[in-house]
Amino acid sequence: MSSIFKKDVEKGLSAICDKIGFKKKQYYFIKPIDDNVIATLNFGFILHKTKGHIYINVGVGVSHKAIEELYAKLTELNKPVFKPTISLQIGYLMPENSYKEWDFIENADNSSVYENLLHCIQTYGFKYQEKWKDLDNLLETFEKIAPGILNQARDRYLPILYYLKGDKQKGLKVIADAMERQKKPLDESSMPTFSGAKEVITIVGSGIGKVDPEYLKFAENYNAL
Amino acid sequence: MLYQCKNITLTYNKVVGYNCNSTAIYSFFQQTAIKELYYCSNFSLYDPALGRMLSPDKYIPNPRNPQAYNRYSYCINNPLKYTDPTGEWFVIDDLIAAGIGGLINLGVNAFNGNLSGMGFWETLGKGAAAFGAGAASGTLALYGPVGWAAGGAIVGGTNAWLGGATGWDIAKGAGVGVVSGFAGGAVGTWAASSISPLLNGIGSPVLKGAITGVVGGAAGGYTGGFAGGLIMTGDFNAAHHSGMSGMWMGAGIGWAAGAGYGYKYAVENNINLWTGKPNAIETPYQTPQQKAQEGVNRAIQEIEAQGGTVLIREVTLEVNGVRVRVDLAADFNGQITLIEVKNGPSAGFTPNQNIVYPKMIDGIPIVPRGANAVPVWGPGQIGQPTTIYILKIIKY
Repeated sequence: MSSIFKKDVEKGLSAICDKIGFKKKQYYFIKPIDDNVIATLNFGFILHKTKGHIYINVGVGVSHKAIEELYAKLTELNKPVFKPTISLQIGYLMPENSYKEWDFIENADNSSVYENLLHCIQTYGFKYQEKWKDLDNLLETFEKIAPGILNQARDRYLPILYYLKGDKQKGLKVIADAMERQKKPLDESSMPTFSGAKEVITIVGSGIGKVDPEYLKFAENYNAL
Repeated sequence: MLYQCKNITLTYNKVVGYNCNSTAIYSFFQQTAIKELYYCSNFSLYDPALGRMLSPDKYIPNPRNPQAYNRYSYCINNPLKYTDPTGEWFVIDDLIAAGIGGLINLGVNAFNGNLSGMGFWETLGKGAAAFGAGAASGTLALYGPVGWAAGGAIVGGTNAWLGGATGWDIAKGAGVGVVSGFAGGAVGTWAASSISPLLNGIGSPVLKGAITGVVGGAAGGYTGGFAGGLIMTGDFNAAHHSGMSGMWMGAGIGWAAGAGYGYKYAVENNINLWTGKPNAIETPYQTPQQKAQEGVNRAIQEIEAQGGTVLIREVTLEVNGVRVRVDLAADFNGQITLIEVKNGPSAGFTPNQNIVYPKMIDGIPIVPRGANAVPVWGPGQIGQPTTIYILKIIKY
């Protein structure tokens, strides 16, 4: 894979983002939806799948300023980083509800691929960004996310959303439940199974089964709000 | 499950189904994320006995010689003409039919003495006419009732002329050809398709084709010969003789043509000539990269089938300065899981994986690296050590 080809694809993606008003910021392309909410796009580069091809996946999200400011305060980030409050692969927002990649071929005319990608962002991505712009819809989405051991986003954003809605107690309950859950060892039954596999080896990080010290700090700060 | 039906064989660029129906195959493709890599071919196996039929071509003999009415010969009617999915056999069909039809009509005219007692060039010219008419009729016989009738007309008219007929006698010969051609074609088709259900116990497509061909050819040959003879002579006895002659000739050609199409069917569908069972399929060579991707796609399909979602592909981790690239990260019930897929018995760990994985088992923190790690840990965690992760290594 030549670096020139990768740069070409990056330029092509920048060009289509430019067409719809998105500008590059760190890992993301962003566009303000209103004073408080920023729409985000991020492109995952899959470089090692097939020689001479770059596959691109697209994450669609929104970043809420008020939520992220509170997040930075509660997690005591020295240097706040820009990130989406919620993001999802666009393939799961499309009718096929499946992971999707766009295939760019080296030394080929990829204009139709760019056009298709742009069309999908406009058709499926924008709709969800509009939906998640609204705090109630965002809260509803986070409430639906399963409370997994490693789901830092859900366990942090849900209390923040409850706080912003004026229901701190509900947020404290979420935090308490999350800490209890984090103390438990990994429950394999809650993991995906691979029935076609001959062998599955699971390596669990040593931080699993303990309360994340960062989360403990988050909980203390939340309690002090 | 990937495999929704019995005996489905998946190869890199082709799926050959056996004992499957199109619904099962469709379901298979709907449920697999690898559908873009494959296309489906030949999933509906075709019974070679069905529709394998012969129809008579009509070689109307010398209208002035009732004994010659027996000289009927037949050419193939091939329903595969209309079902040939690739078109590769299209020209071959025509050539086989034309060759058989031409040779037989040449023989009929030579036997009748229509090509003797004249100069070399006249013999050559009339021989060519006999062959050409037979070839045209043979080819037309592939095209259903209109073709049967048209072929009969050409041969009937030509042979009448070669036999010395003039004016209306030639037209009469052509008319007889139309009737006997149509009658023979219809009866041959009916006979061939009627016998098909009786041959279900026979596995060999060649044998099935040959038997069907014999029966269809014989029935069509007798009918065509009888009809032509009756019209020309008005005598049932002469018509019967003409029919019997046509029957033997039709059966002989039917045997060859039916067996030939059985062979064609077996080759096209990669099945054994004599047992009718699928041949072992040689799996096309796949590069290790292709094989690995096949495994990753399979894992994605399994995750999504259980309600999980893919967060990102190709996530880079670093442990003690050594980097590995994990195939994908997925969110399942709120658990973010890193997944590394090994596909096939020969797929092993890379040198870096052999260094990194034992260290991870030992509890050494991993460091997420690069943009593709952002959707998993967030941008603030890139470059920061963490011990909060789950890695599943799946071996297919």
